[in-house]
Amino acid sequence: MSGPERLTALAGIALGRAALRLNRIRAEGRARAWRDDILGPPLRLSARGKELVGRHWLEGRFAHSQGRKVAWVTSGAPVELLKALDFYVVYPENHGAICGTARTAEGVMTEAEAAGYSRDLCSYARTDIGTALCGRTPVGRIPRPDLLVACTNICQTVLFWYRVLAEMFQAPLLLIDTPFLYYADAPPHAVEYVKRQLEEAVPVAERISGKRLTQERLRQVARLAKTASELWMEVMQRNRHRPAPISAIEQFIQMAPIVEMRGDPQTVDFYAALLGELDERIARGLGAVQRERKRLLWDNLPVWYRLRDLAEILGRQGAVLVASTYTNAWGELAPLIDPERPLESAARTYLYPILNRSTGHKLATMRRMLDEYQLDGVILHSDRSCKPYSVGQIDQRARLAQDCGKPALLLEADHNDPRCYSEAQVANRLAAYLEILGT
Amino acid sequence: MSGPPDPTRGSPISERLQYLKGLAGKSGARGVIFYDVKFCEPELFDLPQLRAGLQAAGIPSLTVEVDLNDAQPHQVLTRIEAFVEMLT
Repeated sequence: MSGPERLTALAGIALGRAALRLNRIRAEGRARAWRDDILGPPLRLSARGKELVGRHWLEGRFAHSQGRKVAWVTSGAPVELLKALDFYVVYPENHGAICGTARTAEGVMTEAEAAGYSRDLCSYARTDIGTALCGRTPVGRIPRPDLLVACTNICQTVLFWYRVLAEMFQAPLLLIDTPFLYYADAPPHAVEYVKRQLEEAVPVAERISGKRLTQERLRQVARLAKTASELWMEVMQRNRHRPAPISAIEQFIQMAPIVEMRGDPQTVDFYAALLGELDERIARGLGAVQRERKRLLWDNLPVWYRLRDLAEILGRQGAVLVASTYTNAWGELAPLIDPERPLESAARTYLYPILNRSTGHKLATMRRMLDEYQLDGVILHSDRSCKPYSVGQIDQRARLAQDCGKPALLLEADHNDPRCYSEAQVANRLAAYLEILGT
Repeated sequence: MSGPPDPTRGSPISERLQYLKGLAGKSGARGVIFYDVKFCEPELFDLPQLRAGLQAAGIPSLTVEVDLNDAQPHQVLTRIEAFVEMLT
């Protein structure tokens, strides 16, 4: 890296940070209430969350000119290892979600489709491939990958998707293959199998980063990841209170750092501050909706491009999404992380995500959440783009309704493709569901 | 395990492309018909780069989407006929 290039990068980062700070201060100064009085007051901290995520992408823009290597990884990849080697880490799934909420996803997906990628493929994958093809993104610029890491603990799709990226960028692809868990516990050979893959990944990542992995740094990152995950779990558990202080829809937005900045000290600080604000809301009796009457569980990914609409349709009837299996997935594994044995515990942790376990396990998780959060019903988002999450939902819906006596609704949509979302149909189905609930 | 490159086993797309080009060369095939099952992502993800690579090697291709257990519409026959005419 040349000296002037580094200087330009430093200036760019300083300028970018100043702009993001200004945006935050402006947002904090704006009126605190939403347009109508359906929802509770917005979180004060959301402006800071936005700044934090903005700074993350800003850093990426200048990663290469600062001599850092870049890894693109799946949401369930063992990122601690890469963080400890000072990789700048891009999560195409998170970027997809940003495009979804910014309503720019459809435009880039059509670029991928025009290049021949079928509309039957995952909308995150199409958003990512489309972005790689045309370069349009709401985050400024995404640095190209020096390394790709795909972990199959969320789906097999990532293997096929990342092979496409490997060709496009001529970058090496590290695959972490995690055997599916049919039973409650991972058999020892499965843990050993993943552990060996992680051990084999170390020299590859070291060679690309040009750095040596030290146990001390790895432990430090694992410790930060564990603390942040614990805090995130606590954030969600604050919703045991009535009224719930932070809806699952708000959690969908605030979860960005725990996914893409896990292992960073700022992430720990952010969730500690969020917890403080929630405690304040609880003390003042502030809820996510103005008049909470019914508390619901959400299953599957969010519908990124309709978050606000869904919050308002539900909120108007006093219904609030109190918990979701999706946001829960980034907190529930915290106890498995052991910073003293970072690699071994990672092998176990990354085998246990909800999507790598049986449909029965998901049903049990939902049942437990119904009790823990005292919920009245469940909305299961049947996500056209996420088959592993959606498989089993018809049976799960029936079980929840019959065995637990909780009205459960199957809502067909897609997490990132607005062309698979029928406005009127969703409104109708939700209205009928809310009537059954008796809101 | 020594079969042709296979997306479900993680073979790189470039290996599949090499293999396809080799097959076409050995057999004297002048075009490739991709017969892809709807929703089969291991195949669908590979398709654009395989087709582009074949095109670059002067081998035209056609994609036919199949839904298992569904008969093909006559339209598909017409497309295959047109593809064959283009090759001859």
